[in-house]
Amino acid sequence: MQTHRREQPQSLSASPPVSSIVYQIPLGQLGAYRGNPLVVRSDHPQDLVTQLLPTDLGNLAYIQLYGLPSGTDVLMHWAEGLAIDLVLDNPGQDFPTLYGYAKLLDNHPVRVTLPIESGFEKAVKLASSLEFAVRLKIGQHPPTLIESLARLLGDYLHKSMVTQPIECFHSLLLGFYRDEPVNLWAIQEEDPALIRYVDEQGTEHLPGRLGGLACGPAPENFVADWSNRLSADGAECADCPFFSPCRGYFKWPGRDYDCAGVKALLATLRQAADELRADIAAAKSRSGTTP
Amino acid sequence: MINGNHYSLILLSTNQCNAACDYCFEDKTSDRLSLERLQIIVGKVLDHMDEYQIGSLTIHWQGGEAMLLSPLWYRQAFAWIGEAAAKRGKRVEHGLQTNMLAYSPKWDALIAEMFGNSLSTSLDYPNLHRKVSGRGPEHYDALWGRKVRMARAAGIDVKVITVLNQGTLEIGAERFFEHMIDDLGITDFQINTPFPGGADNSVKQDLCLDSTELSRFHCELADIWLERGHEHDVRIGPFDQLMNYFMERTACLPCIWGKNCADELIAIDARGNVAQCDCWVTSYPDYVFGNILECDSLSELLRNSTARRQFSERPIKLMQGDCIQCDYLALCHGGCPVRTYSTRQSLFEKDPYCHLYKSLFRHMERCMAEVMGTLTEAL
Repeated sequence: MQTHRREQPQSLSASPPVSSIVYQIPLGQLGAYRGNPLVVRSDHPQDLVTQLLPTDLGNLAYIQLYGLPSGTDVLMHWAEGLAIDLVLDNPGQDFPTLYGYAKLLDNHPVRVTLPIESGFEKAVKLASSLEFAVRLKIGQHPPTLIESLARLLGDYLHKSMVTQPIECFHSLLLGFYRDEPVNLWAIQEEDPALIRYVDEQGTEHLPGRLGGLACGPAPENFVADWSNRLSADGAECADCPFFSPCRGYFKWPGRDYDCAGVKALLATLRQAADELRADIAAAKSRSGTTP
Repeated sequence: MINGNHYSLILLSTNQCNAACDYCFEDKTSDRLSLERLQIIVGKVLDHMDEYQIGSLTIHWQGGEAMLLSPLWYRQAFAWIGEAAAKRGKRVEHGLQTNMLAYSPKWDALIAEMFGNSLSTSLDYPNLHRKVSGRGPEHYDALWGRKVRMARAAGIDVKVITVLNQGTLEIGAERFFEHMIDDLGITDFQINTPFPGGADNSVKQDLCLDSTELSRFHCELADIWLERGHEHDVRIGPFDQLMNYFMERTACLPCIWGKNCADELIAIDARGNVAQCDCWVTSYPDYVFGNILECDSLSELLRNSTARRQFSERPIKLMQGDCIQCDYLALCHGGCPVRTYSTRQSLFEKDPYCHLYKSLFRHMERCMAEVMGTLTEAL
């Protein structure tokens, strides 16, 4: 997701200490976390405009709108270029309301984040049609939803009408295409080494699906510890061709989750990346430029 | 946009017209904008732009017939609007839609200065419905042709909107293309589908065309344009913009396929009535948002209008139907409200030309895939 970066302002708060970790905070905790890299969430757009100071903007990765708030007109010309994440909790039911947020795209990159559940395909379809980027909250889904994801992946890869990134497909495809290391936990904004979730009371939690875990003494090591343990245990991960980008992402929380479906998705992405690389190399070769 | 970066206003300088076209959707009156009223209207539009921090405005001047007011009137309007906008740091551009029947060389200087030496007019082929009161279509064609030749001779760029009819389908795409390009010398035109807007009459009852025939005509015309037009600077809307779209270039698609036209534009008529567009503002009183001359704030008027809310909600409600399944949702969003309302008596159905749109999108997508494949092979 495109983020909004400006000159780093001086920290307005000494506690907690400034770090490279992004804190995903409710707007009410802004005072306690000023000066840190932040994702600030609210269901009141006007409050964001009122309470976030110009000096805060440089530290914002993005703002997150939840609860499908009204009154987003106030964001149109506020902090233009700042990325907005719009959270759809009930995508199958709420997707038509995306029309009400489409004009934000004139001045902001806007991403729609949604869970994989019944009806999510419609939400992704409309979000893409309105030119929103999409982030899918993927996890351990049953085969029926994996089939839906496979259809969606086909659309993402092959339909000319899908022009915007759909995560995690997009970052994985780019990683495979460029032959660069990718980390699914990071793509999904669930790597504790990179991001922490702060609740309304100001308590820090591990991000995303790890939210039920205590932070522990070294949460930044979680992904490495988890993937090493899975590998050492000789689980399905040990000989998985996608272990490097996945690092046990799909074995959380249930270690017994059957990864056959997600492996097929990843294989499709890698094959598409290989074909894309070959096509571009062939085109460059024909035109006489070096691949 | 209503609250984006740019604001589009269709402004009817008069509700009066010097033509009597059978299929016109407007309910014409003798009202004309005075300069005093224009100043009030534009002042409130600029207030609205201030409130939403909108920097630029395009005024699309229409009627009735816009040329029934004098060039002097427009010159004064142009000067006043420019001055008022400049004081607020706003940029304003002007466009002109006219039937050209009242055109004479005395307009040339104004058209150059105010409209960038360009205008848009309308003619159908064959002309079945465009007439001056008491005369036939042939008279209209002859008069219009003479005015267009005069304007062209003065160096004015004349664009044309043409509405298809049963006669157009019968003569076929080849003859239509030849007539527009070879006979009339029109190299920039847009084809529109007819709809029975406004008060009912016998002509409007037979306006809607068979979707299959219409689709075939569009696809054939698109093929002819791709073969003989676009490389010779002939522009036919919507083919040119669909070509851009499917070649992943910036495309400016017609308003009928906008995400939500309530976010895109408004129309104000010579009485000050505000509505979604020129298709609504004089013809459907129940769908007028309010009167700008009778309100303190255009922003308030738009925010509080229950009629406008229906336009905003239209695409949302359409998503409960089959549009969400369509491969071309991103291009169409359920189509045009007035084409829907005038044939279905409801805003909350999809455009009756859905079949045509899908056929055309599919055809253009396939054509552009072939073009891009050829280009890739040529690399």
